[in-house]
Amino acid sequence: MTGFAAAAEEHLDDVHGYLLYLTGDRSAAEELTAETFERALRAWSRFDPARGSARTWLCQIARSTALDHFRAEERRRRREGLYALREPQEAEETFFATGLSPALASALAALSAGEREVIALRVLLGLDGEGTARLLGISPTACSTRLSRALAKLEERMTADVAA
Amino acid sequence: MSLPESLVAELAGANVAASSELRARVREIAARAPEPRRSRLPRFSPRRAAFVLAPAVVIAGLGAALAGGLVSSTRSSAVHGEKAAAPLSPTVEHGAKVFGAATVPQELAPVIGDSGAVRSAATPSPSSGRAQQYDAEMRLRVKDLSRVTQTALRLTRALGGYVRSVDYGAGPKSGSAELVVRIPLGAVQKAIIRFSALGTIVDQHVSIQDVQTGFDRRFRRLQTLRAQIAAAQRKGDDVKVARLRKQLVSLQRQQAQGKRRYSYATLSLGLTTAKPVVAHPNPGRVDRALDGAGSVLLKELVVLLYALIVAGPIALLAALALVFGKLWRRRVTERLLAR
Repeated sequence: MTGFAAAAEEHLDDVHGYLLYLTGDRSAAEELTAETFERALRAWSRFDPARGSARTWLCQIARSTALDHFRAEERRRRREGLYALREPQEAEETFFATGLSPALASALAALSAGEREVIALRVLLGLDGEGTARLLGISPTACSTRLSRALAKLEERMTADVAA
Repeated sequence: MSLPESLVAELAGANVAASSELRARVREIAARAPEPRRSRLPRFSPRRAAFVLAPAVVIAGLGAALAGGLVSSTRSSAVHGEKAAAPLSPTVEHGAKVFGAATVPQELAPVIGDSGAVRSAATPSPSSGRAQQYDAEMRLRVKDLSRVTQTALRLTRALGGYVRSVDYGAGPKSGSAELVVRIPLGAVQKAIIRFSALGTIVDQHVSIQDVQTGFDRRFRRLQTLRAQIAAAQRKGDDVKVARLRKQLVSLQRQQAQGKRRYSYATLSLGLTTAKPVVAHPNPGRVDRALDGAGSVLLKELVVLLYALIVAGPIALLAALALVFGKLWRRRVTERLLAR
């Protein structure tokens, strides 16, 4: 097994989980995961293990792939804006992971993609503060602030749902 | 367990495993990966390259400066050798230079200063048997310009001469005076000695031109005219006698004027209080090399400064564009992820 194949086998679930939390859409996450590994294969010769782990590197490519997807979605929504206003809006079905309580899943769906992203990287994947900050392009302080706000918001949402 | 901890635990325990279809798809992609090639060369990194290049450029610049200094020191040592061959000193004791078509051998008398030391090399004395045009120039460095000028004028009169012109100018830092005096030929040597004693000789020049031929020609013509007058008187040709007498008188006047003119020597005396230029001692090889290296380094710094001045604003604009581009991209990304 080549180095790339071993890295792909080892980190497939991590990349998939990250993209699930980012998009909240199972089919979009699967498409983006495949796209991520396509891009990673093309860039594999430029990967330097001395600069970071393969998991962080793959997550960076996944993030870039997801952002391209979001930009394309936004352009599509703008083009189809008028049509969407006339037709009844279908509720988007979100999915993040198997085993989450409905309250938690509902609370996660209420967060923004950016808030879910930092939760995915720090909690789900277990990346450290510095690695996550470097991936997101922000300072470690800003990263921990973003995480604590996301968790606080999650907690608040869940408390409100329980009360309701 | 508090709510946040339970939240975190639930999130961390969630199953996000990829489906079997996705796994198969990724395996297919990974199977296309080529066999890894072992490269012996270190991976290129802009940061690593900058850490290596920057000191290399500095070392290269210093090396070029040192090489330039060594080369120029070798070149200038040859020039110094040539210069050393020509004597150059702020206070020079020149010998007299004799110009002109003096056909009679000149009697050379050494000029002795007041202290007894020879102040200048032999200055030719005028020949007593022949008519000569005697011109002398002298430049002296003096301390008290006013006093020396007055002394020179007094000396001229004491020697039976007269002053033809004086040009005197004194400033806060230095002053100079130009005197042109006429000295009887018999006293010119004494005048040169006395003038030399007034200061330090910077330059001296004597010119003697024999003009006896002209006198001899006029004398012969005078003899001829006298003989012609006597012959005309014997014949009783009064008209011719008058005409010849007129020519005789004119020629006698010319002869007398010549005698008066060439009985005096013209002395041009230049006085100055300006300090002499100190000749620098020959620098050694190491000093020359360091000087050369310094000048090369200075040129490199000038080029670098010029490049900074020209490229600086462009680089600044490029840096600002990069920063703003980064900020704008971050803002766009945050807007996308905020939905």
